[in-house]
Formats: sequence, C-alpha cells, structure tokens
Amino acid sequence: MIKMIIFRLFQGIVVIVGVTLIVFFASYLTGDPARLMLGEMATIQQVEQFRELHGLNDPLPLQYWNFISNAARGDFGQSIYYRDSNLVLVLERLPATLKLSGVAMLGALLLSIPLGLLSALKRNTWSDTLISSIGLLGQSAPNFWVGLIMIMFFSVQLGLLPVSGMSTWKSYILPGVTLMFWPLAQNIRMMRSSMIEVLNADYIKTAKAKGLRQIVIILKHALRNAVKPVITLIGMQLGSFLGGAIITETIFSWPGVGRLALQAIMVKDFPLLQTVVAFLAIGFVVINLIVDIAYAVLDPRVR
Amino acid sequence: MFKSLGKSLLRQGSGTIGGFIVILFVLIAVFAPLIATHDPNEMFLVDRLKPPLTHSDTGLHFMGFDSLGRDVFSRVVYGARISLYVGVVATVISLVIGCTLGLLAGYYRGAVDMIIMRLVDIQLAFPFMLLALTIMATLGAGTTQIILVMGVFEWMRYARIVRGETLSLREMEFVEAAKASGTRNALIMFRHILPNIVAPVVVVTTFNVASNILAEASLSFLGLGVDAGTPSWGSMLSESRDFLQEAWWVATFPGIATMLSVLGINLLGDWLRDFLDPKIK
Repeated sequence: MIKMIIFRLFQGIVVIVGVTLIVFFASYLTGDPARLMLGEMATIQQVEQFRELHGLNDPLPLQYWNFISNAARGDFGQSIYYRDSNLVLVLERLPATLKLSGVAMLGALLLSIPLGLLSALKRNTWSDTLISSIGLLGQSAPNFWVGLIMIMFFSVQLGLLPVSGMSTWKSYILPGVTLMFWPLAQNIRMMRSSMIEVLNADYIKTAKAKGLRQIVIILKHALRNAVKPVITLIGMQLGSFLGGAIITETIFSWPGVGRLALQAIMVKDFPLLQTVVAFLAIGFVVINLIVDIAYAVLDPRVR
Repeated sequence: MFKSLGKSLLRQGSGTIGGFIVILFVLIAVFAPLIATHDPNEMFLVDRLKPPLTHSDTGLHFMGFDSLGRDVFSRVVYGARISLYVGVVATVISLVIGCTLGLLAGYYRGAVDMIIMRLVDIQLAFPFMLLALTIMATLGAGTTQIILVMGVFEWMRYARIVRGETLSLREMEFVEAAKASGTRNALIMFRHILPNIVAPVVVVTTFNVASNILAEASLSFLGLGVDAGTPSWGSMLSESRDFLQEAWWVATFPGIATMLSVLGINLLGDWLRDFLDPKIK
C-alpha cells in the first residue's frame, strides 16, 4: 500500500506542475500581461516599472520556477486586482467552498447509495422507474438552470430560502442541492448497475443457497462490493465539484474560491488565478489520495 | 446489422424516445429559419418581458419576450443550432485527437504510451471548467474559441478507450499477419485496428456531444461562451438571472430545451451502449 501511496503522490506532483504550467502559459497567450493588467492608458514607464516589480522581465522558465519555489515556501505573491496577498485571499474563501462541497458531496453520497440500492432491488418496478428517471433527468439538466429554477420557486415565489450569500444553515440548501444534483444522478445510476451486477455474482448465490437472510446478504456481502465503483466515481467527480463550484458560487454569490477564480479570470488577475488553481490542484490530489486509500481498505486486492 | 439496429431501437422504448428527441432537435436546428416566427435578434422594446402567448402587432409570441423585447421562441429555436453545432464539431475534434493518441499509445506502448497516458491523467485530474474558463479568458469569448477549447480538452476519454482496445487488438493474429506481410504501421493502426474499436467509440461520442452541449451552456452562462449576440441557450439563461422575479419564462424555456436535447442524446447513448457493447454497461 505504501508503494501505491508513493506512486500516487508522484503522480499528484506531476498533475500540480502540469496544471499550473497550463495556467502560467495561458497568461502569456494574450501578449504582455503587464499591459493587459494596467490597461491601454498606462505609460511605457509605468508598464516597465510594473514588469520590474513583478519579475515579468525574467525569462519564462525562470518566472515559472520563481513561482513554484516561492509557493513551496508559502509565498504566492500579491493579487494585482485586490492588492492583497494571494494566499490570504484564497485562505479566506477556502472554508466556504470546502463547507459547500462537503455538504454537496455528503448529500450525494448519502442519498445515492440507498436510492441506487432500492432501485436495484426493486428492478423493473415503478420505484425503479421513478428513481432511474430522476437519475437520467439529473444528468441532463444543466445544474445552473436547476439553481435558477430553485431560486425562482423557493426564494422568489415561496420566500422560504435565501437567494444568496452564506449565513444560516438555510443558505446551504439551494447551493448545496445545485452542486450535488449532477453527481447525485450519476452516483444513483452507478450504484444501481453495480448492485445489479453484484447480486448476480456467484458468491451471492452461494450465500442465498446457504440460507442467509436477505438483509444480511445485501448489507454484509453485496453492499461492500457494490459501493466500490461509487467511491471511485466520487473521486473522479471531485473535479466536477470544483468546476461546478465556480458556477454555483456565482449564481448564489457564495463567498468561496470558485467565485474568486471567476473574478480573477474576468479581471485577468493571473497571479491570483495561479494561486487558486494551485490550491485546487493540491486539494484535488490530496482528496483523491484519500479516496485511493479508502478503496484499498475496502478491497484488499488493490493493496 | 441495420435491421437488428432498428428492431432493437423500437423494442426499447427509451431508445425510441431518445432517437425521436434527437431527430427533432436536428430538424429544428437545420430548419431554424423556417420554424422561428421572428428574427431572433430583432428587438420589440415596447413588448419587453411580456409573458408567453402574447399577441402583438408582430403576431403571436408563444414563449413571450425577453428583457430586450426579443422573441424567446425564435431564440430557443436558433439556440438549438448553435448548441448542436458547437457540441458536434467539438466532439469531432476530440474524437480525432483522442483516437490518434490512443492508437499510438496502445500500438507502440513504451515511452509513447507513458507520455500520452500521463497527459491523460493530468487532464482528467483537473476541473475542465476551470481550465476552459482560463483559456476562454485569454482567447476571449467566441464560438470558434469555445469549440477549440472543448475539442482540445475532451480527448482523454477517447484516448483511454482506444488505447485499451488497441493493447489487446495488437496481439491478435490478423494484426500479426498484416505486420508479417509488411504492412506499414500507420495502415495497420487506421485500417485494421481502428474499425474494430468503432462500437465503444460511438458510445463515448454520443455522451460527449451531450456533455459538450452542457459545457457550452455553462460557459455561455458565465459570459465566456459563444459570440455576443448569438442566440445560445446558456447566454439566454445568463440574461434571465436579473429578471427571475418578473419573468419566469425567460429562464424556463431555454433550460427545458437544453435539458431535453441532452436527455434525448443520453437516452440514445444508453441504448447504443446496450446494443453495441454490452460489456461496458
């Protein structure tokens, strides 16, 4: 297992370097970042001063190396737009994103397992059709639209839930449901098909032949194996959670890193964007590592 | 083959519905100028935000008007055009890149395989939306840009599947026979191996079109999608945000159109997967 963790860590470093490289070079695609950030009205002198101050006169590989080595020491530089430390800006907003993603991920996991299980056990009945239809619709509806419709219904019409911001527990409901909508649908479908497959396996037939009670067969023998693909899927969905957070946080004015990333993109604040991206990549790698370990615990064959 | 395909499609109700929805949207997209009742960009400012089924001097407006007084129905109809266009063209780009790299990785193995698969890992590991937004912000919003971004960042799925299949196919006797008779590698890959991988690739392609339609809508919703002024479902939804209180129809119809088209493609994809390749169910 240690070998696997080391391999995954190495892979994670490659991912972080790859992703930050893409963002780093993207900031140069449009031309001179200093001119871009200062605007057309800035004098040549101002631009030159800015370039000197932010180390933009160094060769590109050196600039990237400076970014990486400073970041490793915890120095992510200054935001051009906010004129504040990038690290502080991201750390201030990170808890909001983590809380929202946590709520959404937990909701998707806790709802999809029983729903998928029920759907598989009651295969081809009305409850299966209903749950499968919800799954299919959930995968087809754009989550931002679901968010808008929920705002229209629950906030504007009924006045039950807040439209935006992060305050009481109520403010988590709409963005949480919006964010979990797509992964939930995908997990239900995965849980259903994986459970059906497991229920047809020989060892389940053996357990039945031995006369074990159905509840024991399902909970003790089948569920453990059926849930594995769902866990892998959640690991893969983390990317879409973070991507979805950008849209969800924008719709609900949620004070998280997703919205910060979009703001950084809109004002072309590349140092800030670079920091957000680095943090998201690190978070992604760490959570994926946890998922891999959880998987190894569940299935000794992977160790 | 085609006879059993048709039979299977008719036998499975959901596949039929999916096929019907897809054909409907393709027809709407192709014949948009004939179906739309008005110019999608024409503004009737006096009628702004009037509800569905409004009769005005310019005729009946099924889905009402948006905040600039444009006919929502005509915009939804033209939106089908841009959604399908972006979805399909971006998919073709990913398909070509992914299949080529997957074939190379699976056929040559070794260093080529390792480099390509690490690239796949990097891209799979990171939120597509964040990368797409970054690139769109640097390139600027526009239909060509969005197609390129989606095309270039979605090839991994093809590469993975094609590589896996190629790895097993390259050991088959017909490939060995082709090699022994002196056939060039490129010819073996594209003429002998590729036709044997069509089934899983077709399935992935179907789902890819659906996910590209959703991605285009999301990017346009954030203001980094298709050209400004082009009627797109995502940009319509984005514009509707400020009028949710007084005009439900502006947000509802483009959303339903997006959901229905993606649902149709997903249903068709599910059926195709069951029909073509029961292994990957």
